[in-house]
Amino acid sequence: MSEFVFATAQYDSGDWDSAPLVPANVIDTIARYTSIDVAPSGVIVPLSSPSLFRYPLIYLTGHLPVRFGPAESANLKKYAERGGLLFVDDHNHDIDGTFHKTANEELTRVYGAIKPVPNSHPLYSTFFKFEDGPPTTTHELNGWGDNLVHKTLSGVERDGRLALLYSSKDYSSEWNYHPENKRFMSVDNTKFAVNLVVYALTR
Amino acid sequence: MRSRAEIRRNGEWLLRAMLLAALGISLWRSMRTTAGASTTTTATSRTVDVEVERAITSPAAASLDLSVDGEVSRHQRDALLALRRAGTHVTWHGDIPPLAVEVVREREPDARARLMITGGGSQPIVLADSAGTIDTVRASQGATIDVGTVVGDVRAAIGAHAARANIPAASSRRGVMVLSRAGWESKFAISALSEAGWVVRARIPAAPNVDVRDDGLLPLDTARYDAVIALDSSAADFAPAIARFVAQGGGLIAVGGAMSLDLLRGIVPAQPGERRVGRILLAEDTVTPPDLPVRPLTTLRRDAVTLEKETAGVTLAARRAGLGRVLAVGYDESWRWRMLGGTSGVGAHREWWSRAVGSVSPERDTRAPSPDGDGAPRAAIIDALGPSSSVATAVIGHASNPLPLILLVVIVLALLTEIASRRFRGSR
Amino acid sequence: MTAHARLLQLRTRLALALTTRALLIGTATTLALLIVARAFTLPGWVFAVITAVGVAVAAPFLIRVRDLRALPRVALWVEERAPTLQYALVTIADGTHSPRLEAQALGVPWWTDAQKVLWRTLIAPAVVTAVVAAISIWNPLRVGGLVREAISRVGPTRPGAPVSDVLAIVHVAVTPPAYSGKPATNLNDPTSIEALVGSSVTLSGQGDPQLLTATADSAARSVAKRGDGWSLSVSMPSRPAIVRLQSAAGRSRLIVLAPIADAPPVVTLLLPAHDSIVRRAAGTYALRAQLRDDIGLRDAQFELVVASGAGENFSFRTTIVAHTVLGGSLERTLDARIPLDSLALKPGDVLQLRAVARDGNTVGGAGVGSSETRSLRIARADEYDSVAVDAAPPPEAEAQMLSQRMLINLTEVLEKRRPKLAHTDLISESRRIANDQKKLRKRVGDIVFQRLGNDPLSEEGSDEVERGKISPEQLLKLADSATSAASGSVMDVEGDETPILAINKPLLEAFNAMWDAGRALEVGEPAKALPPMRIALAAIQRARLAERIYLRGKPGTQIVDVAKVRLVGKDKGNASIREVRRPLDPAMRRRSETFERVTAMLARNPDAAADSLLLMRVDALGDAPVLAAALDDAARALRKRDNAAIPLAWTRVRRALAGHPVQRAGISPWQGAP
Repeated sequence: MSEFVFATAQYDSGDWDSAPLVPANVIDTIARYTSIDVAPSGVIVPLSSPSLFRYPLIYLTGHLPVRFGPAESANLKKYAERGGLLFVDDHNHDIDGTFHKTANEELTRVYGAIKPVPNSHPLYSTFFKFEDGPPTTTHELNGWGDNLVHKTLSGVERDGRLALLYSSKDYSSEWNYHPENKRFMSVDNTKFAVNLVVYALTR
Repeated sequence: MRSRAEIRRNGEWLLRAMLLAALGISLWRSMRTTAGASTTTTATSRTVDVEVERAITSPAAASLDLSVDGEVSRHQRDALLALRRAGTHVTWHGDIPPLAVEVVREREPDARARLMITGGGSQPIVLADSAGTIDTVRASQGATIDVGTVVGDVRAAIGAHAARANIPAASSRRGVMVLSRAGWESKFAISALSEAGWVVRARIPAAPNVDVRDDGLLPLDTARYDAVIALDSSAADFAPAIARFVAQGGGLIAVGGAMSLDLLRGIVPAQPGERRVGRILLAEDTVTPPDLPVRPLTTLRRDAVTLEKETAGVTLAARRAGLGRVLAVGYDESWRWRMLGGTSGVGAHREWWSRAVGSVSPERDTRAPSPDGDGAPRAAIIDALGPSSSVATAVIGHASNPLPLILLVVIVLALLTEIASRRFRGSR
Repeated sequence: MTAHARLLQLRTRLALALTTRALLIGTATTLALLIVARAFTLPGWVFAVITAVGVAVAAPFLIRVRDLRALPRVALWVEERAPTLQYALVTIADGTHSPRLEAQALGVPWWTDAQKVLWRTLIAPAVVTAVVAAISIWNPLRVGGLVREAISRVGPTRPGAPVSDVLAIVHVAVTPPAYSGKPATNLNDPTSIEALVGSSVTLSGQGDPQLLTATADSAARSVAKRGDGWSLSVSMPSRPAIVRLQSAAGRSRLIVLAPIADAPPVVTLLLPAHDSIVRRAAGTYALRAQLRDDIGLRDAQFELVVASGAGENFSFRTTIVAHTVLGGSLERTLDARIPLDSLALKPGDVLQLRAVARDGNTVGGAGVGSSETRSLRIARADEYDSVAVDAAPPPEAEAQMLSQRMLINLTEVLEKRRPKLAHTDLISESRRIANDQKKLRKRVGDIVFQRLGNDPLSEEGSDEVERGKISPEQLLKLADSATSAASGSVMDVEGDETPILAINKPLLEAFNAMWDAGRALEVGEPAKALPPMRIALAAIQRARLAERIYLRGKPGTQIVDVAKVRLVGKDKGNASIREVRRPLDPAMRRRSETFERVTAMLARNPDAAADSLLLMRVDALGDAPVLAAALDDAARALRKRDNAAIPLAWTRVRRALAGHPVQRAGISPWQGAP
């Protein structure tokens, strides 16, 4: 059986590598709470490359405008059809921001209309229970973004499962620290990543 | 000189006489056939119904030789057999090609049709159904044809000879249980089976004492499930129930570590070998099963049937265990076929998993009887009437005798004309 | 009036009455049979047979008129009803005249009674005929329509003649939307109309519009009168739909509206060819895009977004350049040159640009197509030693590629001139090229080493390589080991996910080929130098492609000690109950079932089967174009009763639905084996 490999999407436009410590932190948290066989390091996968299809869960983030090239759009379409889940997080956490606007425009072109994911969605109960939906991040009200707490995540479902999960909550900032730092934290703020991975592996 | 009225009346008498004469001839004919001498009649495939009917109504037909130049239906064959048992000497001759066809439904939710044909030597066999021609095939060594739909009977024909079969009604399928740790293999196997129409329930452990499981998972029995898929050793706690399920007629697909579980070791057809890495492809997104990582099956049991073999070794083997069937699978990363298999990968992966489950699912169909004809016409006629004879044909042309029809026309015309004439001149 | 004259008059009336009675009986029989026949769908010749039966029934009654030629028979008919005439009338009819006979014959007013008898003989057939006619008029059957239909089935409709079947021929005129500039087209009796969304579709035919009802997409549409016929106008919808025409005679016609969508423009950015990082934003940036559209381009422009800032604090500026009105061209190239100074780019800024084109669609809104995005980043001072920084504003093509091309050109020219050159001149010119090749090779080597995380090749380092301290093979090995280290453990099928390897291998190949080329040039053998020079050029091109895919910087690798942290988390998860995933109901399976039903209907009711195929076509147009085309062919063949085409069309539909039959030699020992 192959191990789970956390993959970060590399795209032609924008700063795809703006949260370099997120993969390690997610891998750490998967190992910390689950028995899922997980690779010790993440990989970076260009959206335009067929290697994309090796990773049925892909994480994409950035601050800058997102414009998918034809190869990237075509690959993402196939990725959704085949059962992949793309998790997009706005590193700006700003719904007026350029990342949000351009990413939504591009993702809508590929996936169709993006709709709010209800807080009763299985995503929030598949491993840990998040009664109020997606956990709030400390970055949402830090003044840099739109200064809003986003009540839901958005997404697109295909055949009853999420094919796209879009977050304006800036988990990229929230989880962008070295996993060793968790020993100084009273509450682990990466637990939602477990739900995300377990959901992707079981639905 | 006779008046017109007299001529008319004489004409009417003439018609009455004709009528009586025609009736008399008919009566004489019927008396004559009853008292006549016995004959040998030769029938062809087209005239067999008429000759059988004649032989039944006329004891004079002491023997019947059938010249088979086309299809002889089941009921025709049954009638000939009945005739023989009633005392008529029935023989047959003709060159019926050895040919057999059978149609089965795949034991899958979409219940596709599979045609199995054999015979015909080097001649092409034309397959058709009510909707038209399906395909042409040479099947001296046997051939299998997968077709999505079949409308009505299937006919496999060589010239005028044909074997017929009809498709059994599809039976509804039951669920599939998937037991596996959280991973891409279980996720995509479940997706593939759901897309193919199976109702899938799964138990997926994600951490000690934390399972992701479907509602209504238990109990495991043949009333609720067709098959169990055990993708790894996480099925250990279910092993006793799985062994019982298979013994009762359920199906099991065992992959990887599941084959080595103590209670399943005795029923699986093989054991997994050392893992071989998959092929590194220069052109990605073209993955097919031979490219996948594999644990080739080793120590195959004597009664195991090898179904797939790659260069690395046997990758698929099956056997019967109790009333059930067990399939051992050497691939434990088939999901790569779906994700990296190009445009056809999703469909091929789905079809493969659905077929794998179908191949171990219990038979729940009631096999439909063959239609007006049979699946193996040569074998059937030999079975019913014995081997072909070399009786010289003695043609008696009963079938082409037009006399009864002429008599009938004469009777009807004479009767109508006489009545019309009488009524027109005012007589009752 | 004499008795003879009265007798002649009665004969005329009697003939008239007999003829009328025969006609009434014949008509009643025909109508009654038609009422029965309407319950079945019968071919046209049956209606001819029904008419013949009516004539046959009337004929015996009509033949009796012939008997009236003999006047004594008329007289006898009267005497039978008025015995008091004592054969006086018969005697007169035989030609004997006498006053006594005349008086005796006129003594009884037999002509009045005869008149009454004649009327009475007509009452029963007239009543029956009236009842049958009333039933046929009242009944939705509308026998008249049936008759007209029968006529239309038996023979072709004559142009200009009054048309009895309003659906005998349906003409279709399609006028595409004005923006497309395409001409109008006409079709006769189509099963399907394919046209641009928003096209005006006018269906017309002969006959009374009141005898026709129409629906489009289940909504009733009014049928208008046009000349001596009817017409119906619909606009081509954006999704497939059905127009159903229903005649008063009970005949219906389905026509599929199959829309063709106006595709958005296809925009390809030709220049700049790749992303760049530069130290200083100076000079001119050339932009070029190729634009294509299926109908016509309206306008196009370049969009520039400048992102400034770092970390959490970014600001953005958007600029439009080279907005061009294209006036409906199908294909154009858009060019622009932007002075980078004018954008006031600061270190750390990123300029993103793309080309955007719009088509002239006025129906569903202009389609917008955009190119991929290229970026130009101004490096910060602390990034100057980064490998990705170009020394100057980007040229229009990759520098080393141009250089290698130029060197090849120079070498080819030298090789051509070689027979005419003195040996010393040949050596001198060849070494000059070799020197340039050596410089280029060093530059390639620098890039490789820098990317592997080492220092650029110094002149000494370069000499080391050339002196054999590090062979090209060793260099390649070094790169491979660096690659392995960067990617962690090599996985089986995942072993080649190392961008550095993908880029560096071709560059190293180029590095080696340049070495061979340089040596050949050093000894004055340009012909021998050319093949490795071309290999080097091809390798550089491959490296460029790989770079486009992979390299935007060197990602850092964090390795987690999974074993150490395994299950040390304080919190525990909860068992989760999934809802059983509902099995999908694939459209093809549903369509296969419908097709089986249609096939079963084929022999019984071909028109209904054709209609069902057209409904399936509407469903398939969106996602199964091959099936939709096959269904259209099958429906058309059925409508035309083309017995030769129907089996072929049926096979096409079946194959489009369930795929081609898959043949395998042999019969599996295990039923259902995958």
